[in-house]
Amino acid sequence: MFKLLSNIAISIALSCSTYGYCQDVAFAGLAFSGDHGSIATRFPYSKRFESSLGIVGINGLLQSALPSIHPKNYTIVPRLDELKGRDQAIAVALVLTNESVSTEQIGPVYKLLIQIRGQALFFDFKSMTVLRAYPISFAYIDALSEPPTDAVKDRDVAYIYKGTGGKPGLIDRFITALTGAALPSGVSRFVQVSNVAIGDEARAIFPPEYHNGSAETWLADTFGEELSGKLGIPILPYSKGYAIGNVMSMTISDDSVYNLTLPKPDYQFSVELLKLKTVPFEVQAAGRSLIFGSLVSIKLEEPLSGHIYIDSQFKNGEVKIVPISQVNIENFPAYQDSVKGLFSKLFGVISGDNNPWLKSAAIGPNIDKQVLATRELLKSCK
Amino acid sequence: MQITKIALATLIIFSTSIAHADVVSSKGKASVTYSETQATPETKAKALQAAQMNAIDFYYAEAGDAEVENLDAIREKIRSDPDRFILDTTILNELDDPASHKYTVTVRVSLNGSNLRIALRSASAVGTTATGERSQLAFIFLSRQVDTNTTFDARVTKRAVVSNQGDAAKASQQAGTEGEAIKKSQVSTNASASATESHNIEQTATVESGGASLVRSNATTWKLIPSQGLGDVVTQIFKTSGYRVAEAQFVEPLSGGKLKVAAIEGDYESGNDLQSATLQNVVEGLRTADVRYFALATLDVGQVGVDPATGLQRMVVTVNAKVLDVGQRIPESVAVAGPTQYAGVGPTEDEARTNALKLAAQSAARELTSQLANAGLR
Repeated sequence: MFKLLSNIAISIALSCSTYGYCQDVAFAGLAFSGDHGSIATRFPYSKRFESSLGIVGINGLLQSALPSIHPKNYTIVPRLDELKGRDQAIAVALVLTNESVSTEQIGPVYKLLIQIRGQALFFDFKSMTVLRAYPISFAYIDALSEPPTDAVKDRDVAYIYKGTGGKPGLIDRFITALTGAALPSGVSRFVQVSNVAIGDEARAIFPPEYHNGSAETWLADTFGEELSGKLGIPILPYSKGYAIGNVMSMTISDDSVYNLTLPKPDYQFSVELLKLKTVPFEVQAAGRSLIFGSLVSIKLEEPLSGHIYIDSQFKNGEVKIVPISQVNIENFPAYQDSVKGLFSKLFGVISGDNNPWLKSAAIGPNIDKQVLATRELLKSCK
Repeated sequence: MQITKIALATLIIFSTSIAHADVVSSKGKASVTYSETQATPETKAKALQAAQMNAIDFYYAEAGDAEVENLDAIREKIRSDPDRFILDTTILNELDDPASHKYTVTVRVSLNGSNLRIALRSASAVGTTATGERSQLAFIFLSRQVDTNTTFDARVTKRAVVSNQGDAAKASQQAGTEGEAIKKSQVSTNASASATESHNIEQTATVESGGASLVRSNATTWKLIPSQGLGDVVTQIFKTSGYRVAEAQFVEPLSGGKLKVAAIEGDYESGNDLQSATLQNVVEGLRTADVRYFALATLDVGQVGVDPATGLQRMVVTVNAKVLDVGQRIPESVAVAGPTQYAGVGPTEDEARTNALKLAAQSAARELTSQLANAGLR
């Protein structure tokens, strides 16, 4: 929360007034992506959380946080209808894209994993076109001595929205995304994770709930979150996960259905998760440590000219310590950390970090040159 | 759901204003070779303009053949005043290769669709003709939906011929000897017998079967859908393209009783084509009313379904359209569009159908006017 407040304080100092002209952006509220009719089955816990808030709803929580937002070059107006009749009508919504709840028994412990993903989605209300998106998510893991009841799940979902243990929840993360977001002063360039693939070896490690395309969506979202978070650039939503025929549908809280068109991306990322592998690292009396490795291929190109900015494989290992007392080891979250760590380190380097990790991680020639070209390009996409 | 309807209605109002704005996006690429050691600003400017024109070519290539041919008429006009047609240009990639003396640039442009259309219209034959000298065009756009669809079971005829053939043969033979010997007080006898019998039976049965299965195609009847608003949409598109246009109903009283809208509707309720007599009457009626061109379109509305993206109702309309030139001795089709399908979505079946019909009518009218302009008809 302190970090959030300090961010807000800095943003006030650099807010609109510093820049002169400010564009109004209407707050469209909370929205659910996809088929209007299946929202209750796809987002049951978020809907329950919303009901538990009574008349205020999640929308009310978001609305009450709006006055604290002081973005760089736009002003938030609380209602969409305030833009009617104007030449320009840009709106922003917190669009929930995915909610997953899974329970797993590991020895005597029940592990409850709840993950909710969303986007701060800016769109042109007049042309119904997606302008830019900043992905956000929150995953909460609970270890329980007995199978989780609905009451426990509801409590944990509330943690996800409101935050817990000093970590900002989805609502605060959305507010932070809005504070850091910027509207392009000129014409914006669109970046999208367009192609995602997972190799057979790696796919075999994914649990069943990641089948039917969810694994690809997870990979695209994780990539997008790190890219957007580290470089502060917006991206178009991964179309195979959230749009059909480049039309992204969403339902806002008042039951209105919007069909947004996704523009064609100017630059396309192709991401392929090639391999996941565990290697023993160290064995001591107190326990042992394992390296959870991931190998990912990443390519960025401009599709019309076929110009490639980066095309390389990267590997990353994250160490996990396993105490001697731990009987069961759950691998998948450690692999997730490994993949996320890879993206985080890579985009850290692209944003300007001097991390020696790159030299050992990249498989391919001229990586410094490729990183430089990618950095220059992505800077122009802010 | 009521709120949903209101929101969508609002969207439709908003969408209308977008259609007026008519800004479209397209991408293009161009390479220019140069003799200097590296690309000069002049070389870059030349490549940029070529890439912008390439983007316009891309846009029209996606719109169809008729539009591309129309573009040739205004290419020079765009080159001489690009700002009027190109709202903004974003350089996506530029590559200067001094080794091969080649500079390549890739751009995304926002095009002013309205200005491009106006330029096309003024360059077309109809655009350069005075209003009074332009030919009159009458049209009828009929939308219809399947009323009844009768399916027939297959009529199956089966025939079987069974024939039996049998052959049996029997042969038997018996042979025997008997003897007696008498010695003093003893009589002894002996006998032997042998028999041979054989049977041979052959039987053959032949079955021949065959027949026919007669399947009759479905019998479909149509019902016409009132589509008051379509006339306005079509009129607007033909009018803005420079044609003097009238709905067929207004031509009917001037046709000497030959052009009858009810007869055309009756034909389309029962089948896919106008009957010969109706067509001849239409041609005669148009000549009497001094109307040279006749645009005729049918918009067939399909079954309602669920849109996979939104969960809303979705309807598909198949459009077939053509323009007849009755000014010649033998009437000729001078523009033909379709069959092309368009989908519309909405919270109710009615709204989905209206959206699909509107889109289909607009697109068909645009395609017809492009072909007419391309053919130089005025």
